[in-house]
Amino acid sequence: MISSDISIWIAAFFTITIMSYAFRDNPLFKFAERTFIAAVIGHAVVMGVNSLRQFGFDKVQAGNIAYIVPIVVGITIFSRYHPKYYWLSRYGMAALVGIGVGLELRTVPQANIVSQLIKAITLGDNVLMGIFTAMTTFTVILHFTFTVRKVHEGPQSVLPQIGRYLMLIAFGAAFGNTVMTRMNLLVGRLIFLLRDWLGLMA
Amino acid sequence: MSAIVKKNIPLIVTFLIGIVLVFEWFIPTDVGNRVGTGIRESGIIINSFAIMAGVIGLYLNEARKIMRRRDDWPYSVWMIVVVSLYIAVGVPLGYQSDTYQWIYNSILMPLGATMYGAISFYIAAAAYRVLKFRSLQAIVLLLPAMILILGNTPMITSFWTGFVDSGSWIMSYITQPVYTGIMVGVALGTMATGVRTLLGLETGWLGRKEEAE
Amino acid sequence: MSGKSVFDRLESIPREIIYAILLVGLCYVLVNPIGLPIKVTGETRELYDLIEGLPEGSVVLVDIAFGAGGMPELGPAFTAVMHHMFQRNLRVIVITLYTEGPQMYNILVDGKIKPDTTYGKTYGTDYCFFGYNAGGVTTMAELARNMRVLGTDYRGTSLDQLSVMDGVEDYSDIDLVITFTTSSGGISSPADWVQQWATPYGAPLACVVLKMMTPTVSPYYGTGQVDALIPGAGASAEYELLVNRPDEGLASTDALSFAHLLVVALVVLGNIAFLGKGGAQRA
Repeated sequence: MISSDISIWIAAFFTITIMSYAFRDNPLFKFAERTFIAAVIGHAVVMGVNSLRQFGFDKVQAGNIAYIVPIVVGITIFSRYHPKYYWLSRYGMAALVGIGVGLELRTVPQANIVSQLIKAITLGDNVLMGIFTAMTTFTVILHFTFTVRKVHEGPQSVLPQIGRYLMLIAFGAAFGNTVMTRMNLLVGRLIFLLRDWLGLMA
Repeated sequence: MSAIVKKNIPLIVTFLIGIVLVFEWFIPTDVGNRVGTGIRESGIIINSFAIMAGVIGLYLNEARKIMRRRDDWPYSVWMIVVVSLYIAVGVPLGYQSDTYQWIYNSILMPLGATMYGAISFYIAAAAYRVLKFRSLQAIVLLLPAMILILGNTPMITSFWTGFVDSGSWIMSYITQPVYTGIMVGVALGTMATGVRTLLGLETGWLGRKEEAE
Repeated sequence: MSGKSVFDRLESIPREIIYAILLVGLCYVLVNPIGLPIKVTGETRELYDLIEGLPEGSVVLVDIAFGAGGMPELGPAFTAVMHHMFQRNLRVIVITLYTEGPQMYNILVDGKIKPDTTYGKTYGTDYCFFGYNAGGVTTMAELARNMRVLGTDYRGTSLDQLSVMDGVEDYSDIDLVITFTTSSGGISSPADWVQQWATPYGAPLACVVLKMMTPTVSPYYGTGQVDALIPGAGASAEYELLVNRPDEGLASTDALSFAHLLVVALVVLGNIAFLGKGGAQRA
C-alpha cells in the first residue's frame, strides 16, 4: 500500500532526484544538491547552538562565570569573514589547533607507532607468516622513505618495489570491501522506496 | 594593528596550550590536571562555535550571487530559505522536538543517504569500463578485489567458504601489515606536523595573511 | 562496410543500460527474496561473545558516530546489538559526538527498538542518552577522566539524578565501549577511541564500522587495541540471526548477492571485450 505520509513522499522525491544524476545532470538534481548543502549547514548550526546551551550557557547561568572566557573566544571565530577584523578569529583557531595538536602528540606515539611496530616484529605462533608480515610492513615503510635516496637505488630498490606490489594487493582487497559498502547504501535506499514509500516489500 | 597581535600572539597561544596538554599527560600533577581540564572544557565550547561558522559564509556567498543575479541565483534563494528554516525551527524548539525530527527525516536523511548510495552506479560503470587486466600491476590489483567481492557475496559463501577464507587470509597477512606500515608513516608525519605547528613553523591555519606578516 | 566487431559492441554498452540493470535487478530481488541461509562469521561472533560475557548490570558505553550516510549499513547492526544488550540486562549509556547522532538515536532507539515497551526498560534507570556535544575528540578525552563532565542528558536532566550513572565516574567504570562509526579520521573515528581510551587506559573497545573501513582499522585490531572489529555490512544480518531479530540486515542479503555478482559479471564482460579486441587487432 503506497504511503500517505507526506514526509515519506518528500524523502522519496529527494531520493529519486539524487539518483537521477547517474543518468543525466538535471535541474531537479541541482535543486536537491543545494538543498542538501543548506540542510547540512543549517543542521550544524542547530546542533552547535544546542551543544552550547547544554555545555556553556547553562554553566554560566549556574554561576560558573569562568565559562564566559571560552564563549567570548569562540565568538571571535565568526570574525573570519570580516575584511578588517578577520585576524580576531585566529585566537579561537589557535585554541582549537593547540588542543588538537596537544591531544594528538601525547597519544599517537604509543597508539600508532610503538604498538604497531612491536606487533609488526612479533613473530607469533606461525614463525613463517610472522616473518612474512614483518617484511610486508617493513617494505611498505621503505616505499615511503624518500629522505634516504639509496633506498630507491641499486639492488636494494627491489624492497620498496615489493612493498608497492603488496600495497596493490591490499588496495585491491580494500576496493572489494568498498563495493560492498556502496552497494549496501544503495540497497538501503531502495528498501526505503519499495517498502516505506510504495509498500511493495514486506 | 601590528603583526604581533595578529600573528605572533595566536602562535604563542597555540604553543602554550599544546605544551601544557602534553606535559599534563606525561608529568601528572594536580595543578596540571586542573589546568588541562579547564583547557579541554574550553575547547568543547569553542568547538561549538567552530561548527557553526560555515553558516555565515553561506549567507554571504549566496547573498552575493542573488544581488549579482548570477546564473543559478534562484537556487541561492532556496538555500537561504532552507538554512533559515532549520535555524528557525531547531534553535527555539531544540533538536529533540518532533517537528525538527520530521524535518530531518524528510530532507537531510534521504539526501545524505542517497548521496553516498548513488556512488554504486559509478562503481558498476567502472567495473565494466575501467577495471581491465591491462598490465601486471592491474592484475595484482584486480585479482584480490575479485576474491574479496566474491567472498562478500552471501549467495556464494552460504555454499562454499573458499573465497571467504582466501579473503580473510589476504586481509590478515597482507592488508593488515600494509596498513600498519602506512599508519606508522602517517603517524610520523602527523607528529612532525604537530611539532612544527606548535613551534609556529606551520602557519596555514592562520588563514589569509597581510603583507606585513 | 564498417566492421564493428562483436567485441567493439561488447565494449560500448551504454552506461544507462548498466544502471538500469542494476536498479531493476536490485528492486526485483528485494521484492522477491530468495532467502538463502547465511553463515555467522568469526568477526560477528567475537562481539556477540564479548557482550555475552558481561555480567548483568555491566555498563556499556555506546557511541553513535554515523548519520544518514551510514544508516543503511550501521543502522541494522546498531539495532541488533542494542537488542542484545537489553536482552542481557546491561546498563547502556549512549553518547554521540556526531551532528546527526541524536536523530539516529530517535529513529533507532525511540522509534525502532523501543526499550520501554519491548523489554520493560526505563530511561534513566537502564539506559540514557547524553545528547550531542560538539567537542569532538576533546569531549572524548575528557569523558575518560570524568563521565559526568557534560552535566546533563539530552533532556536536560542532571546526570546525578539518573540511576544508570550510579558508580560511573570515569573510564574504569565502563566495562565495554562500542563505537558505531563511519568516520575514518574525523570525529569519533576508531583512531580517536584507540588514542584516547583504549591505549592510555586499556579500555575494552569494539568497533562496528563500514566494510570499506576495515583495512584502516585492522592494524589496531591486530595489536589488540581494538578487541572486536565488525564490518557493518553482512555482520548486520548475522547479528540479527544471533539475537533472533530479523530486520533490514537479513532483507538486504539477496540484493547484495545480486549486486556483487553483477559487478563481477561486468568486470568479466569488460575484460572479454578488451582482450578480444586486442586479439582481433593483432590478427
